[in-house]
Amino acid sequence: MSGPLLEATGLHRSYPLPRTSVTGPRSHRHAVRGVDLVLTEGSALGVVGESGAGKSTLLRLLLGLDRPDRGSVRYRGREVRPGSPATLRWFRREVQVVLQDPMSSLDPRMRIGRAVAQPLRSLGVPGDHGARVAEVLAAVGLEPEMGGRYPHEFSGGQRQRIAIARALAPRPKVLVGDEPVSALDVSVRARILDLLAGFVTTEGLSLIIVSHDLGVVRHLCDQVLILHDGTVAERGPAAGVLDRPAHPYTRRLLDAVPRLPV
Amino acid sequence: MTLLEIEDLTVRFGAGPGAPAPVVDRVGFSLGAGERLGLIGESGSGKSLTALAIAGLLPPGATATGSVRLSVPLNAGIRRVRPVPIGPQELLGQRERILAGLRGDVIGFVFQEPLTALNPMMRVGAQIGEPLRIHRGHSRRAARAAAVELAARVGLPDPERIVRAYPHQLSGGQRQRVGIAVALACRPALIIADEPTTALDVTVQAEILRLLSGLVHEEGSALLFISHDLAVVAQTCERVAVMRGGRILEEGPTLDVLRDPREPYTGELVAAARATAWTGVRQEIGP
Repeated sequence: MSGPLLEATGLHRSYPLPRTSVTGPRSHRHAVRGVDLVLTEGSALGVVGESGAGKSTLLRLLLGLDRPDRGSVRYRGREVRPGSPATLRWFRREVQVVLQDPMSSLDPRMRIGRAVAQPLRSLGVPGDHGARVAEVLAAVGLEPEMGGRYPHEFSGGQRQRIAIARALAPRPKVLVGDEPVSALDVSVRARILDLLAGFVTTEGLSLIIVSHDLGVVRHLCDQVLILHDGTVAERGPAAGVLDRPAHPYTRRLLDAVPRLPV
Repeated sequence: MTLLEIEDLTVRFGAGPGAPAPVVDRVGFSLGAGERLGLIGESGSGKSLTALAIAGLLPPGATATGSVRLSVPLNAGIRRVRPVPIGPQELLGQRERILAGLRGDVIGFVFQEPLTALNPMMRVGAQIGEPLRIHRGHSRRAARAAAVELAARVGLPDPERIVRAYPHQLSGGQRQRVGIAVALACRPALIIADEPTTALDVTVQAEILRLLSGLVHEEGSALLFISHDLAVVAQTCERVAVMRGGRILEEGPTLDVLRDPREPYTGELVAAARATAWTGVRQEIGP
């Protein structure tokens, strides 16, 4: 059994709400309230929750993009402290992210070969960048020659492959996906999930997949964490939690998922 | 009785020899009164443009040919401010004045994103009552009373109070309930719902689908339900038509199409949906 890779303890984050009274105290929205989380090496953790559950806030904290009010995020025991880009360079080499909408996460005026090489440049990764770009493009099922094209020349599924290639370029140990397949058509979605699952088994990549889609999480993840109202409603092995939900909220969530008639 | 009969519906952008291929290509189907048909397809399959063409809402530059025939029911006892022709009639090429009289009255539309479909500057009660003021000549007061009643019917909490709220003050699910109330206000014979739950959370989606199916059933309206989600369509519609590249590939009872698809593409779509759909059992993708 491998040890913990990414670990969060007692995370709290609240945001001030707009004032409703001139003199009264300002109220706060507690987006994340005491969340603990452990990602072990080679495992895939699904974070499930509906809008307002605190998924995005938790993700920002885990990526070191936001500072928790209380609690800490550690990577292999070393604390992740948000600050200048330079102080987190070591962390960015280890943990990369794929966002929901590939069109808005790729610069429309940058050829995709250059876009995929960008993390290599900005993180100061040594080695032949051109060769690495060709390698990761091939790994996600694209032709290395496609590096000369612009994002608009690709389909939505291809763009998400490019975003995955870019995230994998600096050889991270952890890939965080924020709804990585929600914007894709169902037939493309299955292929992208397959691709991600492949990297877990062949490259020993660890995944955190934030999603509202239980089918996606069930397909990809061995561990699951159900987020509700900023707290963890339920957690455990995906098979156990999703087959025998203990928390009433998990049950409500599972009951609501539309099913295909068999 | 056939309510809507579509034949050879073709939508294209631009005209002449150099024009691109049609985005909706010789589409045909019919919808009986009270029937629920799901139109399913991936992005770019032409499903939304088909719906817009029916209601005469195509974007500028798009032209439709073929035939869209709607049988406008005589709803006895209803006073229409804008008289609309009764009985079967062709909608394509119809004058805008007539189409505007049909929309919101005989044809109700529920859109995907209620926040963009609703007017941010107008209280939701006024928006729910607006079709009644326009099509039925309700006074401000009568429309308001009807709006409170409709708000209650679509399950909005505290209807008396909520009709005074603005759209941004409501949750996504509540906004879509308002959208449904607007569509139902004049008790339309045909409701077109274009991805009405795609922007919503699953628990809210389940509530909205239940509400929409229930109300469509109570009112006896026909429903044209557009979605990319096979499971959602299967839950809502007894018939389904599969679109790809602007054409309807196959059409039939939902269960038959899902269990025994005739077209290879439908088979792939069902397999892909099953692979990631929630079935309670882990499924493997691919070989």
